[in-house]
Amino acid sequence: MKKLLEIALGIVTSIGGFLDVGAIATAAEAGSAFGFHLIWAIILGTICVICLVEMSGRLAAVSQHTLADAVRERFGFNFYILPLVAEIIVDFLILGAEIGGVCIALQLVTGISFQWWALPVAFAIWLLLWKGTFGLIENGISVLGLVTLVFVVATFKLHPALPDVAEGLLPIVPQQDTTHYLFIAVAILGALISPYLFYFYSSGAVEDKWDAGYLGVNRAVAGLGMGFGSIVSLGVLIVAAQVLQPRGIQVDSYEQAALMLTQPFGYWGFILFAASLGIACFGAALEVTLDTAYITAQAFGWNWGENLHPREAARFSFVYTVFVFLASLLMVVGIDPLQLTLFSMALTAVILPIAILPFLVLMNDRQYVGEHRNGWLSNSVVIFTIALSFVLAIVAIPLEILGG
Amino acid sequence: MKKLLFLGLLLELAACSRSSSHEKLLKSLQTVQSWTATAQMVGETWQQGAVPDAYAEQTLKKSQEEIARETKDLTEPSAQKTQQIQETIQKLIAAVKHRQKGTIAAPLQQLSTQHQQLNTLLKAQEKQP
Repeated sequence: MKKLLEIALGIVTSIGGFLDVGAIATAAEAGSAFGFHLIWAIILGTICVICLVEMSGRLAAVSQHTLADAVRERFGFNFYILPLVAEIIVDFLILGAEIGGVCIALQLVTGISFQWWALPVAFAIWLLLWKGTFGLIENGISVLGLVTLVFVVATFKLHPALPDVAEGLLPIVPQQDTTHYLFIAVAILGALISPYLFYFYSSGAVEDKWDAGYLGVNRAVAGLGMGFGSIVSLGVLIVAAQVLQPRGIQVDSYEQAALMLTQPFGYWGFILFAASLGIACFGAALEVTLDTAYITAQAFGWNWGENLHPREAARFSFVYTVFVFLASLLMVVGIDPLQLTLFSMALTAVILPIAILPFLVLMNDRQYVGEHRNGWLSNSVVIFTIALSFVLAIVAIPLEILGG
Repeated sequence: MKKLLFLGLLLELAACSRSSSHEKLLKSLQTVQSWTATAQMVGETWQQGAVPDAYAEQTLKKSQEEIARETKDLTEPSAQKTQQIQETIQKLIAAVKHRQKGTIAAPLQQLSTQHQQLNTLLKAQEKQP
């Protein structure tokens, strides 16, 4: 019964926590510019992320090592420094974008420019990390994130033509605006297969004291939670395709995206969009901030843990304190949140190979996962994802320049 | 032979430059079209009371700024059309600023017509090689 409750809670938190600034921005832009034609990218990204999240949870449950710990131990610090630095840079930009998402949500509701909200939002994030526990962050904010299900409800209200939606499952490259289409596809994949998720998830599993008995919970949470969560992303894409594309609106800013729920829900649609954006980004900002503190502390062997008092993990707390305030400065200086989001998603794609490559070794190493090693199917998915990540890493920046 | 190759290269470069300037023009027109549609939707939803006043005013101003930025890259007759669109958006901004929902219908109708004309212009440009 306890396990069932944990599975249910895990699924709910995964759904609520699935959407972040990258998923909202890329899905809205994809739907408004290319209709249903990029649905395949969300499905592909979701399959990859489900497998990798399941593996990072399995690694943590069986070996009691977080992903970062295992990479550092297995490959040595000289190798680990590469993904560490890359991840910190990308986390910094993503955190700036997530803070930007919260600020834009507040701007939409209050009319006060997003730049003014950056420092108060950063303070709120820091305060919750300083005073809160892992459970509060994992469950509390993610449960609030269920508001994002409004996009799924809107999808049903808008009655999209199912054959058109099904057509989007096949990757067909359009003849016009090809580079922009490919750039958005890369950004969607970058937003979904985000390395911070794997580091955060495995650290969370260690914080929650998972052991081999949790493998079923892990599988259910990763598979069902992420699977249902991606339905929310699909909802954003479909609503944008149904509401914005027929009018000729291509999402270049969050102000345009904010209109997408007004057709099915009127004024409350506008408020629910702002709430979804704000809560989803706030939850993700907490996760990204914690992730950076986790991987840094784990790299240097410092005390770490959100459940510890800041005094007991002083350097860990110091890292997230500095990080969150520095990232908020990106918004204070007025960088466009949507452009920062798309850029950070493309950069995420660039660092994917070094983040995913270790999975292949660790998940086949008996020292870490014992009898719970990858089977041929899991290894095939990892190899496919590694190949995909190399392609994404090579094309991301040229596409950003040409079609971003 | 070398001269022929050089001439071929020059012609190729000229074609590329023409095609890239055409693409740039298309991109600018698409952006103007998108922001015009945004302004129209903001005006309509504001009239229905589906968006807050501050949001409507800010987004209309942003639409106007984005269109003005793109207008710099446009030539006649597109530039003239976008100029008219900016003037209409200004009327929408005034209606929102003074909270006069009754006076927004006329500029909204005007913007709808201009939007259609812009679409025609865009389609004509897209057909050009």
